[in-house]
Amino acid sequence: MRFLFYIIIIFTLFNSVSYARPISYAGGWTTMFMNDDNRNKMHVHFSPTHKMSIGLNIEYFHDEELFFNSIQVNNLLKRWNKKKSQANLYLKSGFGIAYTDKNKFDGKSQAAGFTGISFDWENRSYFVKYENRYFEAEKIYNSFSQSATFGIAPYEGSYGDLHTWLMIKVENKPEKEDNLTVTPLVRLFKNVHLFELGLNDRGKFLFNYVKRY
Amino acid sequence: MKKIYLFITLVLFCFSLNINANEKNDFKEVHVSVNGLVCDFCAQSIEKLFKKEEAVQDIDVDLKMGMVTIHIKSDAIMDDVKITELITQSGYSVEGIHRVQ
Repeated sequence: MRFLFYIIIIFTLFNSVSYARPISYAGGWTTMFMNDDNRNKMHVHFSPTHKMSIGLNIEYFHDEELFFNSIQVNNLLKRWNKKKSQANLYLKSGFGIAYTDKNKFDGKSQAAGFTGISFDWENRSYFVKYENRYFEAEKIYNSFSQSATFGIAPYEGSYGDLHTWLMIKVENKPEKEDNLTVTPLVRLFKNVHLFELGLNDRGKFLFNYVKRY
Repeated sequence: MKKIYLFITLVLFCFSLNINANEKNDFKEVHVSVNGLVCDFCAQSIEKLFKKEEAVQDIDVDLKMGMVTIHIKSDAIMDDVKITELITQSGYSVEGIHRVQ
């Protein structure tokens, strides 16, 4: 089963160009920092064409005391462009090395990977997103997570204005005892900068920052 | 006296028309109706790709109308095929192209 998982990851990494759709414009760079009560993540990617992006992904899982460094490939499998809205189906996959200091795994490192899909729909007033992810570091840590996000824009700004979104993110991690987290958040978006600041139902902060070049 | 004022006004009016006409001839406008244009990142993608083109003098993006206005240099040409190609490369689709000389 694990062998099949790695085959899927490798297949995804090396065959993604054929099936991919635009991620960013060709030649565009994106930097993302994501922090919540469970994880810190930095992802830098480059879109060589409008069909995919490839980049470096560094993550730290707090509870598991686990570092994960990987090459991540994002594919836009399908985009629906409508006059007043846009919807996207992404495949996000990564393959790299996991390292942990926790308990019996002290100092252990090994190959690890993840894969998942993400679907979003938005117009200028509403935003809906669902995504999931399966992560496997064989003997160290395996997990499945999924989340849904709903957003509403209190006003419609023009290009270059400050755009504001009020959102709520519901996250489910079946492996955890307390497996549901609800995070209301504010998204602020101006020019090439996107900030998200939230506070979940356990009193922990979420902070995300994205910049496009 | 009134006729002189009227004549001067008419001359100035024609002169101003000529100035505007010359300004408009400095570039050609192309209005492109684009599908999927819902956020600033979408607008930036289109803007950055078009601004790399030698023929493009400037570009305006109207998110509300889903409209991209391309100002093309007077001595340059950018055909509909090229415009459609650039919009598609940005990740969006063209609904219609309207040229203003």
